[in-house]
Amino acid sequence: MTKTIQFLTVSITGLSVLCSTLHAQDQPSQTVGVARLTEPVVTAINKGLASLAKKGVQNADGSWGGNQNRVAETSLSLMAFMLPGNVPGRGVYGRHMNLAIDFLLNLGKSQRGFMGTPNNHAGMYEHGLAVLALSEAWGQSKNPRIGSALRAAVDIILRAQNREGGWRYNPEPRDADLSMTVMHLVALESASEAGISVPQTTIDKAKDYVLSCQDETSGGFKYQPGGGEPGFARTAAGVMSLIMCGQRNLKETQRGIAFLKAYPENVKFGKGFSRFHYSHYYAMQSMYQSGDADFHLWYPKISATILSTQKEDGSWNGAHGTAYGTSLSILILGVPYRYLPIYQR
Amino acid sequence: MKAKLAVSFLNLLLAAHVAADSPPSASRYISQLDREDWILQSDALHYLAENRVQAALPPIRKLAADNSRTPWLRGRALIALCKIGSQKTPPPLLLEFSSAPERIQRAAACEALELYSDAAAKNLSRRLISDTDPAVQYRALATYAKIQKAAAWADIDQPTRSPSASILPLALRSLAFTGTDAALERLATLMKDPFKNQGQAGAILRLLSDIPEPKLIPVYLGMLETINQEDPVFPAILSAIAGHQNEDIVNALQNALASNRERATYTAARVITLLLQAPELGLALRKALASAKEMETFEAGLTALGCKEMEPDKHQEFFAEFLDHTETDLRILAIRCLSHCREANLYDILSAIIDDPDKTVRYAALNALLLAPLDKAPTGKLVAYLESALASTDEPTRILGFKILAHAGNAEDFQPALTMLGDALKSTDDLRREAVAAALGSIAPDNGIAPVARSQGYITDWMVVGTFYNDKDHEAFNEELAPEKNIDFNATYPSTYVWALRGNQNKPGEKAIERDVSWEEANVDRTNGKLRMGPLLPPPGTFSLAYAVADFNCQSAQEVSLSIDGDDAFKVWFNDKKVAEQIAPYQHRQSCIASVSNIAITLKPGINRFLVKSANIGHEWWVRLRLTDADGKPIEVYR
Repeated sequence: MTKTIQFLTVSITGLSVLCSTLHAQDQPSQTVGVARLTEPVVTAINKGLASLAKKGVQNADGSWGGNQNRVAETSLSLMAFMLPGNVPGRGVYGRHMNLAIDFLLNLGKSQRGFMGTPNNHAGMYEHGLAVLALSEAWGQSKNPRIGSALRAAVDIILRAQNREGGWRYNPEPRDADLSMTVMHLVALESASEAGISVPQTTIDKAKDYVLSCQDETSGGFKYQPGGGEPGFARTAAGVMSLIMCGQRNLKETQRGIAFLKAYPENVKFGKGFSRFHYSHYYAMQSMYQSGDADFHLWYPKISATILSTQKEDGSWNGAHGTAYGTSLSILILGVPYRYLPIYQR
Repeated sequence: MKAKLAVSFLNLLLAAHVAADSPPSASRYISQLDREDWILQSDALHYLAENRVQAALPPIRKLAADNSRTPWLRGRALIALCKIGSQKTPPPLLLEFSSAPERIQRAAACEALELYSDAAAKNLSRRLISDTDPAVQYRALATYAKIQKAAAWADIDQPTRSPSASILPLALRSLAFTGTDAALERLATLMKDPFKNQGQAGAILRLLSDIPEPKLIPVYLGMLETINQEDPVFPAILSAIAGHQNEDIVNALQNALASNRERATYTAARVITLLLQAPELGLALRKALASAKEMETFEAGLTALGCKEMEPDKHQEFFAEFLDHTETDLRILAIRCLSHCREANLYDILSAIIDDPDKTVRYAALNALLLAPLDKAPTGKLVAYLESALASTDEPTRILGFKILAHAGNAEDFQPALTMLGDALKSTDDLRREAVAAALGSIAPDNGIAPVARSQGYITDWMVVGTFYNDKDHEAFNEELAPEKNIDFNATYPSTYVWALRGNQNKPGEKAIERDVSWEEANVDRTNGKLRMGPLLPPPGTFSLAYAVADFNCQSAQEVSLSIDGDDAFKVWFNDKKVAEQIAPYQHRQSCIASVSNIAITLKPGINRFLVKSANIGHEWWVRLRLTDADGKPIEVYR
């Protein structure tokens, strides 16, 4: 049995598979069941985590990655460890996770709550990722500093929302783009789930901003409302954020899903696809949340591609570093795990 | 050279072993101490001192003791050392610096001495007051005053009576630390002296900003009273006030407001607006405003009370008192303040104002309603409430009326709005017709859109099929495809599409993807009558074409005028006869609108049919057909 065929055996219980593609006008009618992982996927995830935990891979300060995107790689790696149920402070990876949490908290403390890597122009993106990771960690970790750090960090996000409802590169309410807005919308949703107070008006305004980025003709999402072209990565991000806001059945969300599905398979599942990890991190979650039929169509193909690119040492290459590629590959493969609140249906 | 290399290596080792609780840039700054550039070195000293990086102590100690370095840099190193060291008594190196022949080193010793308050520090500062160099002398004076406070007055009095300009900031610092009434009175006098503090205000404020003496706040407020907001010193004074505890600032503002001086009231109001919105100051401010005379005082007061953090709901009645004021600006300001009151029912309060003869007041009132909580809007009665605005002959008033209707109205307001504004939908004034249609569209229930569009003469009920592949040269647009040969609503057609979104260019070799398409019912979903193809058809909608068919019934024959527009291209057949064909020139990422007006056609009794072939290369994709009579009045047709 080839690897691809093996992955087609991903089992889904409570399944009512709709074989036809979902037309934009169709009301969502997919069932939502519990997906399980195959043995090869579990093995790949375990190897990936082991590669992140290997001596010398995690920096002495608890971070992963180089100077440029250290917070992003650390946040994603922390989430990758939590994904299959590892808990900070316990088990094989407990120390690694505690160090990562400390790194994020120390950075936040030294920067008045802001957690972007210093001098990184996309620091606000990293800030959102750190909030997401810490929100997911809160409740699992015994670190008493997480709560106050999260409140300070969320406060920065709240104050940086611009008049249109979005966010951009700097922690100030000036301009906005879809990618950054989705990042913070997801972070706020996660923080809110974790118990941090987030005004509903903030979420509503952000959702409106995301919707304003939808391209009327194609149903895909653009970088900004004014212009540009819709793209796969942007659409995946837009759809995911709308679903997280409870808008799964919204016509606009369904049009976005139709866009993702109609996108040529040889391109989107190809190894050389631009922004592969970023795109499929959001797309996979979107398809998982969309329902069993979409998940069943999507997961075997993307997992086959990802497994075929895993390196001998268990890691994956990524556009922004090995920790970035490895952690996102794990997060995509491991979507059926249900330990992270953000991945729960 | 070898020694320097050894130090560098040591610093490198230290940098690699910076404690985990040090800030992330600590290692880099420790390494930076080795740079030959004194700017980089002092930058590193400042950072390491401010962040109290313990690991930096050994290299900084070496730097301070290094005779080959400049006295100034050694002085900076001494200060950093004392800050990080956090000891209770001055270190021996400080004592050494205090007797150094270089006055810069002695001044640095004095500056570092401010970090200590024990007997040794007191005695040393007392000794240095007698230094020959004024900079050292006055620096020591400030340190001594910091330790001794009021008890230092006997030593401070004489030297601060008439200080020269160069040592004025330090003299003022000494007075601020002393903190007695006499000292602060002199400080206030010296700060106001136009000759002595000219150009030094920034430096003085910087030197005073870390002194937590609450009695300084009234001095700062007094300074603010004498300057206007455009003065560059204004923000510096605000910053100095901001360095104090909120409680102390509030007390100082309370006292200022109670002074019964109008300028003090004005200044306090500005500080409240710009710096500290403390709701407990609201009543005091209102009381002070009761005796005010000047417009600018009222403006400043209302602005302060209207700040959201000042809990403006508590002052609703106060704001309302200004709605009938003789000054238009105050009326407008009061309306704006009321718009910040979340509990106020602006629809009640402003019911008369939205018809005010003064249009600027009217605009302010209507704009305030756009900010009012939606649950206060008179649902179902909104049209009656806005009647005068909606029917106003003043266009901005009318547009604001439409905006409020769109913003605060809902489906319950739709029928009353349609009854009142329906005639405008049949107007030959296209701008008014379109504005009314847009307002109605924003509150219409789903089944209300098509009637509004139909009232304007738009064809609203369609069957559509697509997409079919069409290249950038519109090759398929010019061919006869299956749906136009024989219209069969039950048929399914094989089609292809190419994903060529990036750059909107159909790149050679891109693989066509196959899919089947079939006819679907479709209605226009906007009151502007546009049949938007994108939401009706599967993605991506670029390099695509589609067909749309509208069948409608007529009682009798009638000659009418047909207008068509669409983005990017269309062909239209009426009762099997082609009546129009237009292709708009392609423009990248822009609307490409083709239009044809006033095509004379004759409706026949019974069923009539439009067949439309609509093509799109990129960007927006829609088509729209409208029927009017000879006078330009819309003709409604039904399926």
